Amino acid sequence: MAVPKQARASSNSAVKNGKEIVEQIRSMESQIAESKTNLNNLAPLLQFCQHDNPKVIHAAIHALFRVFSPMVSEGELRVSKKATEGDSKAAVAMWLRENYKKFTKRLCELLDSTEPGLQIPALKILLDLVKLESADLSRQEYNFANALYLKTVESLLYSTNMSEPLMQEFSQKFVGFYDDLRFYFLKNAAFVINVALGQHPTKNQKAIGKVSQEKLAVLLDNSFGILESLNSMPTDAKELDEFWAGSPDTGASKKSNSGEMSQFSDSEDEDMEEAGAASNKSTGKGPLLSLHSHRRAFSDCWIAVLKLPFTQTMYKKTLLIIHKRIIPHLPRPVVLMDFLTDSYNSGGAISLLALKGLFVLITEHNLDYPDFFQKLYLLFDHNLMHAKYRARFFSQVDIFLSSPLLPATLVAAFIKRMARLSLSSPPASIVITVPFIYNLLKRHPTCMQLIHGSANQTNDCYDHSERDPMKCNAFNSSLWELQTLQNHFAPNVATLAKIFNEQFTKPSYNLEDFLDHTYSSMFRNELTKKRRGEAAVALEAPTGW
Amino acid sequence: MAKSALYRLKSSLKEAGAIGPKSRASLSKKDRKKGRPTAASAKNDLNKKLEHIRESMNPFEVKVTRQKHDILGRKTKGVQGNPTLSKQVGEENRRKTLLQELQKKKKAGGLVDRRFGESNPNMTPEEKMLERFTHEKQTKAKGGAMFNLEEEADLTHYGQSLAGLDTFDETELGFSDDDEGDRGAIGGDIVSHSHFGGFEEGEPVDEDGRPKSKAEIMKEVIAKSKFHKYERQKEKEEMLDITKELDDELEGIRGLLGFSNPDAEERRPKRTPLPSQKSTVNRALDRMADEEKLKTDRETLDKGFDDSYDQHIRELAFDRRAQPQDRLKTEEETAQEEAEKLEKAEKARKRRMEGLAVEENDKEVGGYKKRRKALPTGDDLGDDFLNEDDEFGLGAGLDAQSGDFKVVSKPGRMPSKKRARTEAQAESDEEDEEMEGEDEDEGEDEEEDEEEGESGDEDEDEDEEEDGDSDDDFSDLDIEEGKSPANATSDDENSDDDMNDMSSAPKSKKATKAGMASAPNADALAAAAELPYTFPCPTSLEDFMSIVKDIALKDVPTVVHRIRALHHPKLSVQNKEKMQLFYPVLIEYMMQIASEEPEHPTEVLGKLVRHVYAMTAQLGDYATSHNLELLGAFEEELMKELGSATRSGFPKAEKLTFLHILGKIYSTSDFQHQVITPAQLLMSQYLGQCQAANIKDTISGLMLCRLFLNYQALSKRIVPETLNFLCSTLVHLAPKDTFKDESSWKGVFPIVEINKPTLQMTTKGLESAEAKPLSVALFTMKDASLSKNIYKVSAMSETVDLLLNFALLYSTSTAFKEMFEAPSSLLKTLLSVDRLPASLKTQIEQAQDRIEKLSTFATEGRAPLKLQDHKPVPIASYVPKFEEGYSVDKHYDPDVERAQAHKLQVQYKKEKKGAVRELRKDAQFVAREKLRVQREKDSEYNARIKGIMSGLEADQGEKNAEARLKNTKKMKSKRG
Repeated sequence: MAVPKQARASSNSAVKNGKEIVEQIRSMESQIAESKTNLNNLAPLLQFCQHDNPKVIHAAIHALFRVFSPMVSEGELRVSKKATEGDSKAAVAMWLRENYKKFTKRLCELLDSTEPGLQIPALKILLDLVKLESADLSRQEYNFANALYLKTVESLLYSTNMSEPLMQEFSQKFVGFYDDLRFYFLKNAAFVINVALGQHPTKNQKAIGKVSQEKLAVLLDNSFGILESLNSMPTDAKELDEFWAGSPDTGASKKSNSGEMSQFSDSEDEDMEEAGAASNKSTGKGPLLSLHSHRRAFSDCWIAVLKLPFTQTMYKKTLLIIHKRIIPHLPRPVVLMDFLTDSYNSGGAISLLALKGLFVLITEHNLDYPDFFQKLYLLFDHNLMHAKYRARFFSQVDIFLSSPLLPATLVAAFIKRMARLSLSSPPASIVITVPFIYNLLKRHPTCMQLIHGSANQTNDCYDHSERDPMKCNAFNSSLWELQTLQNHFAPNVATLAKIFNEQFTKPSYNLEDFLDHTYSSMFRNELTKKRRGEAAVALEAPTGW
Repeated sequence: MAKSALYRLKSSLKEAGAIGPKSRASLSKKDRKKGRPTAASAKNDLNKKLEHIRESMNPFEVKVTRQKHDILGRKTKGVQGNPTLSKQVGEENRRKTLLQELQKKKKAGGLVDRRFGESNPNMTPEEKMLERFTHEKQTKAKGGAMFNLEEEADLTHYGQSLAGLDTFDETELGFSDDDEGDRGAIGGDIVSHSHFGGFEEGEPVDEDGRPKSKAEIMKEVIAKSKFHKYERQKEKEEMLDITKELDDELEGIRGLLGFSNPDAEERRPKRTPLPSQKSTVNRALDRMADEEKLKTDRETLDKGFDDSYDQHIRELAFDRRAQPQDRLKTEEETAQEEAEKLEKAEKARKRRMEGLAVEENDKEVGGYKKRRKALPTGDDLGDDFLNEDDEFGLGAGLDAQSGDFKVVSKPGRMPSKKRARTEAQAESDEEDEEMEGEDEDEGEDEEEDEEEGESGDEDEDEDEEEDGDSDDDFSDLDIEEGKSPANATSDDENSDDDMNDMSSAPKSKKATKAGMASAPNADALAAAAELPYTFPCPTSLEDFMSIVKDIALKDVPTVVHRIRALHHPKLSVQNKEKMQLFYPVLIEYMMQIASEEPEHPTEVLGKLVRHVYAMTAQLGDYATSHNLELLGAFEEELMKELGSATRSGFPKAEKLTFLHILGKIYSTSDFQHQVITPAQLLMSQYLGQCQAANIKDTISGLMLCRLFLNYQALSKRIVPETLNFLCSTLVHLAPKDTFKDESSWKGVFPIVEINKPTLQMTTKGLESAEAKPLSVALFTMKDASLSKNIYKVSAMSETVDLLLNFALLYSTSTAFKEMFEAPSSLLKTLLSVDRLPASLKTQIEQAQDRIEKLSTFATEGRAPLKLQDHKPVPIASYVPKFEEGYSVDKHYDPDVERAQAHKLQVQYKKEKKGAVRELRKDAQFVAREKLRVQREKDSEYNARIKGIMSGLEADQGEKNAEARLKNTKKMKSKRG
């Protein structure tokens, strides 16, 4: 054959510039379109896909897509089982299928490319092919070409060069938008992760062993990245109305057609195949239309992700979104119980963050948590006031301590501990604790003796190191710390601390107003304050340095 | 309750004496005979009274409005009225006013009777005549002379009275006898002898006794007259000389007299008068304005005349009189004044420290506070809780941070730094060119000018000093080496001399000769002898560096001093802008030398900071803005460094120097201060958020703590960050394994990392390391050389010292024990470390002991808090307010404004009603009058017509009778 030879020669000669090759690709593509006889051009085109020049690759994959797309939609790649060995037509189809497989494989590889300009077209082409395949499969009844999609998802998740645009493109335009893509993504991702961890309960576990730590980290990064930006989980079955590969409700499948799907699969892909097809069999209504199965997929996926080895930052990120983005979409939120309790017990910032999720579980899902207040009390440690998440923490503690039915001893312990910590706190934290204590005192008037006591003991009977709030004897103490804070160097803080000297006429302070202060904000506030008069200079001129 | 009509009649009769014991009828005959007030005199009187009573008692004259409902507690007006009387009164009044106007209507002229007493019915004709007579006399005496031809007129010629000429005194003829010798005219004897045939009387004889010839006599006469003429001329010249001398002398003393020399006036800046002087000054200003006007008037009049003398005279006439100067104050008085001033300043500082407003705007703030802080009552409905956003001045927090930050600057007052810089740069460029073009003479000229200007200003400056606002005059320049302004102002002479030696060299030399200068002063002057005296005002650090490039560091304060003296804002308006540019330059320079000089130039900085202090007071708001801008830049840098992983963010020498300067120049004890509050926030942020990575950072942090200690020396406010930092520094510096985890000490302070190998003391050679005082100079050293034990020991020693100082500072606070629990336990643990140097160990021991003692002392003294010892809040009452002695007529509106508005409305309505009524009555009156006039006219006309008609009728009758007579006669003649 002359043409491939020529092509090979041209591809080998690196001097030839990209433009000419692109021209060549165009002509080859048009030749194929003209007649089937020129199908041999496929081989050089596939060769071009390996080219160094991204432009060439870009042109080649698009050309190939244009060549293959009519074939896929017309089912020319289908190999019927009845076909005999010698059938030339079947042979061509087989050959075409080989090439098609090569093409898709290359596309999946391109997802790992360093060039976002190639990643995104590759992704788009893959998903378009998924669409075409699904359309082809759905001729009799609805079907989703999950085999290809699974490959796509797998290579995406293992991609070490996950670029920001690709992540955006995939999670926003596809997974975030189309319900079927999201559903199958969740399923596939869970499958991929489970396989990676070697926990997939399928028969051929031996096929894929455990993966290396680095790969797991990549997997975690990518899957978490996509899941984190996934904010379109449906809350109602009616919202399931955007589908990438046709609407499934036309012919809700009753019967499995996995047999037909095997046309695209090799033996090694079988278990994946099964994972994709299994869901179709079980549900009566068609899983894509049931909210429950969506949630189920979501839950499975997250649980799979949570099994991965977490880094500290990832941990914090997860805890930050857990109560808003994860728990509401789980069919059984209690599954997160162990995760949250472990986080809560781990101490430090993670505990502060886990509090919110735990709170949701306790209040909305009947989780019983013994010694909750004792643990909460211990969270008030020496670094709390300096932690970044203190505002979030305090807004939650405000909720926990909002019940007027709490014993006064407990409340007094919290008050005293906060006051004690305030003595070594930055102004921004004191600004939180002071109104907080005011609100607590207002809510629990018995605790007023903390600031207006009658007993004439001078020594502080409060034991700061006691771990049990009920035993620390804060109730008989007095808040000298607050009196000292009235002499704080920052005028705002000092003024605020003086509210304890005033009549307790204000019903309560809105804690929200006091949460978002930092050194910086207070400093800027001082700087931008309207100035009245001139700054007072020193009483006497300085004498010496 | 009104009495019955009969009762009233009786009582009034009794009062008039018509009935009852005093009546005539009751008098006994005896009495009547005795000539008691009897019938003749009393009867008329009584009749009159009775008439009056009759009138007033007439029930038909009284109109009563019957009330349908009698309402208790309401006073009703106009129940009883006297319509006829009021009508009559109204009529009378209208007749007097309206009728007059009506009659004068459409009449332009008229005669007004101004004869004396003509309208006064109380005057008798004799009195009238007398009055007229006296008045006539008076007018005659006053102004009657003008057109009076009978009296002698004062004739004039060329505006000069001819009356004086009668005596012929002024003429040169010398006829008067008394001054013949003086006047030098022809002598009386000559006249008597030789004029008018006098020579006939006898021949004049010469020495020899022979009679003189006529020629001789004439010669003599001529010689004598020539001699006299010459004498007169000489005298005149002498006179002129004396006048001229006097004039010259006057020029000299003009300044003393305080005459307004127009150019001097312009050069001298207008001083603001004291309130007590204000009235006089206003008067003077008025006078000056008048003078100005007169001057221009005159000038237009006698243009072309060269009359400098007249001008002077006029000036003298119109000039302000020299004002007596205040007497110089005695030493005790000045000392007392100084003490009072200090006391006042200290009082103001204390008020600021407590966060109270300074007295000036006390009133306003107090009023505001009172309104805000009023206790809520039952009627408040809690509305005021809604609007209390940002009650504590905390700002908007993080939400507001997105917006661009800008330092608030007062528009107009402070030009944007950059703009000012470019402007002034252009200006200074021009100036530079000029400077280059001309010689040094120019500079000297300038100096002389200044000297003059200042000498003219001296008395004024003194005035101002006494006024108490010394910040506006040159006294801020009195910070010559090592002398406080208090000293400078205490002896006036000294300050004057200082002031002069700023501006001109010769004078400063004089000062040295006079032996006024103290040792450092002499030193400075020695340097001054070598230094140039004039410098351009630098607009950037490069400029300034090029100026001080060749000058020894110790002389830089002198240079700054001279720059400030030369460009003092009082000397010219542009100088203020120059100073505004110089201020940042100076601060930047100080920051630079503090960080770059190998040996920390403490002395120079100490001198320079005095200049910064004076300039801060001088520039006011500009300085504040600049310092705030710089702080803002520091903070931005810190935020960047906190974001980056490589840098710790702790400030280096420059920033520390700036913060140190701030502490020196501003009042750091204020509760809230425009500059110090943000500066402290920034410092606490450094301490709270930066993590010390190496010993340099630790030193920087310790210096910040030292700054805080200085800042809070007076106000003793709590700075938790310092204690936190000191505690964690102790932990970090301690040798390895002294502190294992958080349970190794008591108390709370935040700590992230316990083990920091870069900071820990190494055991090798630790015992021999001696603590040295830390200084900013350490920042120039390399990290590696700093990590020696000696610096760590020094840092530890400094930490312990700071802890002790802070403990002493806070010893009175109630939570002392809680605050110093951690430091105390840390120090205790450190004591158990064996290898520490002995001196450090004793220091730690002493500090720990002291803190422990203070702690027990503080805990012993404290009692449980009693913060809510308020008067109990009264329960809001909903009982309606009950008015004692309520009246329906009164309005009890609690809203004062509304009540007043209502009152005004009622008044307006009433007035309007009254006015309408009056106008209506007026109209009726006018109509009535018109009708009356018309009727009068008509009746007059009718009467006239009637008269005419009757005349005509009579005529006609006569005619008819005549005709009839004729007829009868005719008839008779016919018949007959």
